[in-house]
Amino acid sequence: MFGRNKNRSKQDHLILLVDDDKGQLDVFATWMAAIRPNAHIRSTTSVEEALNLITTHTFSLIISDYSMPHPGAGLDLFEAAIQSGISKSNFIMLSGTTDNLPDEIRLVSKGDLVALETAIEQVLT
Amino acid sequence: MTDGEEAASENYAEQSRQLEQLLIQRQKWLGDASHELRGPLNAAAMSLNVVTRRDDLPDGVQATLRNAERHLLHMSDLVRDMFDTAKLENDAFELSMTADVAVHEIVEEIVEEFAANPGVLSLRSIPDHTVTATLDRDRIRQVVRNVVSNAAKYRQTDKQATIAVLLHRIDDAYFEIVVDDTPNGLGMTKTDLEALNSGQPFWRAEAAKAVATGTGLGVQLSRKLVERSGGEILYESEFGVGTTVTIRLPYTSETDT
Repeated sequence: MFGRNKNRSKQDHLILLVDDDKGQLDVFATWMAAIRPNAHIRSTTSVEEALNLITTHTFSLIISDYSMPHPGAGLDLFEAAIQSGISKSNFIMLSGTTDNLPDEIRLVSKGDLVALETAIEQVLT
Repeated sequence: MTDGEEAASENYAEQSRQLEQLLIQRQKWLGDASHELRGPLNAAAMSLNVVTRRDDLPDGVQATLRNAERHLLHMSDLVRDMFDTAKLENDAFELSMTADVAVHEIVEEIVEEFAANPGVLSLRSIPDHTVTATLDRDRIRQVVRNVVSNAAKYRQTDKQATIAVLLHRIDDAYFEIVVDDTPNGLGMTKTDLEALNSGQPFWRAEAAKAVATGTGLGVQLSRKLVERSGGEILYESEFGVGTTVTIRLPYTSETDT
């Protein structure tokens, strides 16, 4: 468990991954651990749990699926994250479609691993 | 208005409402189906990506796994193209515009990706300038990737691809990305060019069918995505020599979505 810790080192990022598909979420967490071995990674399939986590933890980065399962669930999470004080640029939305998303959201197409890794580097460095 | 006219008018309004509902349901289904089909493909590609990061893999294994990863991502792109085409046909498609997109970085990423392709003899990137624009980053990346991918794939069977990718400003309003696969490209006949420009979905050049498999979706989808972005794609081609594809885009798009 990782509570609020303002003394975390630069490499010691706390990252939240949200996807309602457990199988895909596990793969995603494994991939994240491979590209960011020093990060602390929390993952959840539940939007409700994610909403609770962002009120009790300070995340350096949140990466969320857009459709969980209905399109827009990721948008609810984005808005809650902004209200809790997380910068818009520290939130990455994953989607298989680019329809109807506000421009302010950093969107990465699902499957574009190069773009995702680039976006993660931009947020965490 | 007579009773008969009033009834006909109500009937028409009801049918319009039903049609609108059907279109909404169709759009939702297209989005959901694309999402559900691409999810497992992307998860499999991500798993392979984790393994290929290891530096202790036996000779050849890493290249094989990277190849598998590339094919999975290609299939994921095909699924996206198929559903995007359907959405564009139904006018149910919106671009996600972002300011200050570094176009030269997109070009360099794609050139780097295809330079490792064993069928490519040389792939030169010549960005004359750093170009930043307001556009849908993922979609423009999709377009450039599609054009470069075709140049790498559809080459003369006994030769490797030689591709030049140029990026340059035209004026204060427009820039161009030019992909040129001459002289080792397949090129197209006049008939091919006419068919291409007529916008037929699933159309493929006769010579291309003999060289590699494909759906014919990428070319028409790319054209529509660029046009939606306020630009145009131009093709110049000579059969047996190659094709020069010019993607002309505005720095700031006024989309018609």
